Amino acid sequence: MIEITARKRLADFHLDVEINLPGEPVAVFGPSGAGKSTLLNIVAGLLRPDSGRISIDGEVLFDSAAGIDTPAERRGFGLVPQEGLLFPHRTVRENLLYGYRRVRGRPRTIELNEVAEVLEIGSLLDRYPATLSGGEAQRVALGRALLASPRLLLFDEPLASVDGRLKWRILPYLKLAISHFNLPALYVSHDPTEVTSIASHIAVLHGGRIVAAGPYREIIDLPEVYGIFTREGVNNVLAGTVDANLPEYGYSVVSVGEATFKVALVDAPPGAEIGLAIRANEIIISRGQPGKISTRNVLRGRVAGFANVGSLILVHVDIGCELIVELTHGAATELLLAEGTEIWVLIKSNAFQIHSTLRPA
Amino acid sequence: MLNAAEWAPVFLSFQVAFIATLFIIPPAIAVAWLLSRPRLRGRLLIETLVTAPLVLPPIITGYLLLLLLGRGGLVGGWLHSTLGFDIAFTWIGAAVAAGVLAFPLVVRAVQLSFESVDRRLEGASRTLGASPWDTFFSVTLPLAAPGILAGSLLGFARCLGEFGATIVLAGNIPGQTQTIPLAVYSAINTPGGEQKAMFLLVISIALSIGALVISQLLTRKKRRART
Repeated sequence: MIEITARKRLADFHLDVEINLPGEPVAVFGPSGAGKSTLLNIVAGLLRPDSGRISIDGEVLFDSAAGIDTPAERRGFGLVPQEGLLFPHRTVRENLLYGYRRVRGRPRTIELNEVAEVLEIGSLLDRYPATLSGGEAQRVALGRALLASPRLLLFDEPLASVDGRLKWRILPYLKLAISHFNLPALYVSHDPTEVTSIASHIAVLHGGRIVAAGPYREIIDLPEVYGIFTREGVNNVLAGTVDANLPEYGYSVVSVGEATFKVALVDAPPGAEIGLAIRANEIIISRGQPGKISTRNVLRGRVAGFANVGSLILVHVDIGCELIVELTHGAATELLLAEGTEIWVLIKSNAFQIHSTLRPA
Repeated sequence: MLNAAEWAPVFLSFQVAFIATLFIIPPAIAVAWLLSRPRLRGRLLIETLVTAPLVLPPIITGYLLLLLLGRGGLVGGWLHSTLGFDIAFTWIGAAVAAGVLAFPLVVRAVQLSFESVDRRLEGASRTLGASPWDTFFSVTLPLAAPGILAGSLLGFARCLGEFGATIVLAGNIPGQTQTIPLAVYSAINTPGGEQKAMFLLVISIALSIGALVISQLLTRKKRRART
């Protein structure tokens, strides 16, 4: 268990955070300027909070009241920074072994071969960081942090500088590494898709404070949280498997849970796992079964719950997988929706954002 | 061809500039590193002290050094009485004068190269288990090395040209403290010395421009490597 409380006053901003990490990964979601990097630097020991306390499994690393401040190099927290920040004058191998060679007072639990295999970076070992692609550099940065045998992994927007397509090729490596090495992780990002894919427990940081924490399905119902997520992009993130590619029809068939969606043709073979995202305000709900209609996805389901988010209503629907649908109060009233009401959900095939391969077939 | 006595200022200049540069590099690195830290107490004082030789007339700096290091001075007197060792009017005096005058230039160049090292790399190093000293030697210093080398060459070139402070502290003794600029000065003031002056002038230009060009090349290479 990792417990963090920290207060820090900066020139134009005040961070006041209390957050507890169980053994599993926790994502901190927040728009830029929310204090995410400040929080992470405080935990890493690179920035001293005005007051607070940081402990891991009962060992106190920082306590302003008791005058304890363990320096960064003795905290044993592996940081995966934005842009990788590999040492440009050292080869990939030297970068990877930088922390490994400096592990002191703890057993080395992670070895180079294993990391190279899991992250598929074995062929890069003798190259210099300047010759790596953004995705390769990020995998090496993760490997470097892992090889320091950390007690906690800290991710500071690790994919922010990687462009869209590539992002979805690296994310699986991050997930795989976290689960393979079974490490607690604190993952900060402003990308809803990233945080929801990485962690089931999400803390929302806004204006220097944690405004909500819990599973996505619960916190998204809070008006403030919904607003932040919506401003940053999508709010339904789904993991699916490609069933078939049908170029003659112009779409691919992807199953998510018990549901099957037709989406714009994907660049992945049948059997591949892909990520799908869709905005809650691009989904249509109908009380009756529509007649002939061009919309390719017409799925029957039931209303699973509601939430009032300011001027809008969030409807949780179950169509074999769970989706969030955004409706106006007027629409929700006219449709006479209640929990358990039978509905049809309409989604155009091209409304889905497709996040390439999560794992090859 | 010129005889050995006429080559003497060239060898002496080399010796003086080389030793002076060698001795100012470590303190220049230390001061430059301090000045490259964003939160430094007493920055104004350190910066003023370091930069002073750059703005003071060299002859004044030389005189201050003479007051301090001459036989009658606080440090010079002590060195003479306990070790029987003199700085003033020896080639070591010439090296001290050259070193003091070149110091601010080297500090400036090295400070710039420290400031160009991404501070976040140092943070990454710390989280990977490296102490601040370890981080300095394994990340900061290697990344700043081309700039430090370029700054040193710049300092070396400055040492070669030092005149005002040298003539006051070390005098103008042929074969002992007469470096190239002093020899040129003497030659110009000697009837029939034009040929000697011309020879030293060519050597001097070649050395200084050579050091400057190498220094510039190093800076450019560093800039290219980072992009």
